[in-house]
Amino acid sequence: MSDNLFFGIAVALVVLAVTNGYWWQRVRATEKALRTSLDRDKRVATNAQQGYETTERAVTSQVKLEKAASQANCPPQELPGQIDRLQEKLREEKNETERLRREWADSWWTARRREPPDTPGVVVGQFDGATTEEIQTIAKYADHPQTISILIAVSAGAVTVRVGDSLTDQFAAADIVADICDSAGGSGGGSAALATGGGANSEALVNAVNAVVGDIETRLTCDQA
Amino acid sequence: MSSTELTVERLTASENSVWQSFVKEHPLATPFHTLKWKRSVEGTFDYKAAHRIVWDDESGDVAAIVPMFDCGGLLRSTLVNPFCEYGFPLVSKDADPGALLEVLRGLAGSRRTLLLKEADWTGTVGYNAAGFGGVETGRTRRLALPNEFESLVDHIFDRKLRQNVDQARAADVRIRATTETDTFYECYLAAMRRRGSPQFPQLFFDILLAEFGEDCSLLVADLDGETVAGLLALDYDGKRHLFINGSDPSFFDCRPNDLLYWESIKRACERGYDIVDFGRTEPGSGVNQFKRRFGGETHRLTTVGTPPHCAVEGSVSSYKRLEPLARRSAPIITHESVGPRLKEWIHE
Repeated sequence: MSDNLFFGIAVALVVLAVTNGYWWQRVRATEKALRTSLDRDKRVATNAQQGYETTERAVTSQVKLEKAASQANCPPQELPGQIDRLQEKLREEKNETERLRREWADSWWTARRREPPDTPGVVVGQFDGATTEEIQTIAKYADHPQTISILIAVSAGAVTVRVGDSLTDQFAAADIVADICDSAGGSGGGSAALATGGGANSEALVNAVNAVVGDIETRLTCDQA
Repeated sequence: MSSTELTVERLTASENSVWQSFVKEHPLATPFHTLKWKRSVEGTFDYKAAHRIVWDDESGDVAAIVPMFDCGGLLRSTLVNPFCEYGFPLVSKDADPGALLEVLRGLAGSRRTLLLKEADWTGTVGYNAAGFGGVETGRTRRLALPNEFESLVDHIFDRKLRQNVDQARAADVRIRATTETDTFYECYLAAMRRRGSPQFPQLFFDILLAEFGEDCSLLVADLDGETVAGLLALDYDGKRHLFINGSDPSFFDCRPNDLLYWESIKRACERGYDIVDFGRTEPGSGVNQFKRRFGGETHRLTTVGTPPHCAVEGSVSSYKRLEPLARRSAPIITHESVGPRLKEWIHE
């Protein structure tokens, strides 16, 4: 064999070795890369199956939890207990508010009963800073059978009418509220004995009540005559 | 939705508003998906923007958007969103990710690699089935922010961090916000020289500040009237991304970086942000230990690519092997006429 042939074989072997090395390296890199992408796909899919769609959402949930815990002034792990305590406190506060309203209503009516009307009449109560719930409580305790009570929460733009038991044949609280709302705006409803209206213009509300009171007193006078 | 119903188009100027509104509506969007980022990279580097919009042919709606640049290369060109952690496709909730990845695979070829920088929380799966390989590029740490910064100080931050911040304050290190990059760039360059890592040109930071406006904050730490460290952050949709930090190593004893990160997180809390993202770090590195003191959760970062054997191009670990040599060659690597060009070439 000539030297040239040996040289040719040697070059061919080197080329073969280099080519094999390159492809071996490439196959190895491909396998490794595909394994990594497969692992990632599995990991992300598992996260989704475990109840949170993405890790980002889990982070967002953590943010919300920590913010809620911060607002409730407790560590995140104590949040459920803290919510129970706050709800209990809220119930107590509501009961206390209701008790105070009742006391206020009792006091108001006790003061008015010092001069009890001997004939049917209208009582108007105007409360500048009261809420709708507060005038409803006062109306609930208006127990004089011959009195029509009209209570106005001026800043809330609300009115509550209570018609005494002996007058419900002649007057319906819901009609009186409807008359008031016709003039002052807003809307309302209720029964013949008790009705509430809201959403009215505060200034127009007082004028509308005064006009309605005039009408009621006229009717009462005519009926007595 | 099958792959035949999706069409991939290159983003044109007339579709910028479509892109913008899709990013705005998408809950997983990051600053690196915005047109501000696109303009910043285009304005600094010689890359051609190659952003893609994927349309659902049936409904005519956008099925996904993919931010990417054609970063060139010697033998192969690379399509990638460079210099950031997040270059994943933003996928519409109605779209099928599998079909989408099938059509995206068509962007790569024998002379071109497509790299997508994924995070686990995107929920996008199907890369393996679509023929994408992957390489893990590190971890990111994300800290959920409460309403009150003090809550972090009390419950989350490490005791050593609090001591370091006290130390910085005792040394009279002062933090201030600025839009001037000169002094920050000196600190950044000092950090790059220490690592033997090529640097961004200063122009990049100037453009980021101009493009992102209020959503780009640059805080610097001053000691005795001299700037000793700086931190540049990008904000998007209630999330702060701590992007670039640089500090002069001769002032490490005064702990300016602890105070800088502390202050940036505090300001994010005050803005009502939800998350601070500390950016990519190598597990077990000193930087990772530093960031761990701030708490938060770590998440894996994976760059997926096709053809699969080219996915490794998305990893910086191959460059890490050259670190001892790079440190010795730092004066050349970080020379103003060499560093930015090398950075552009490496694009990581």
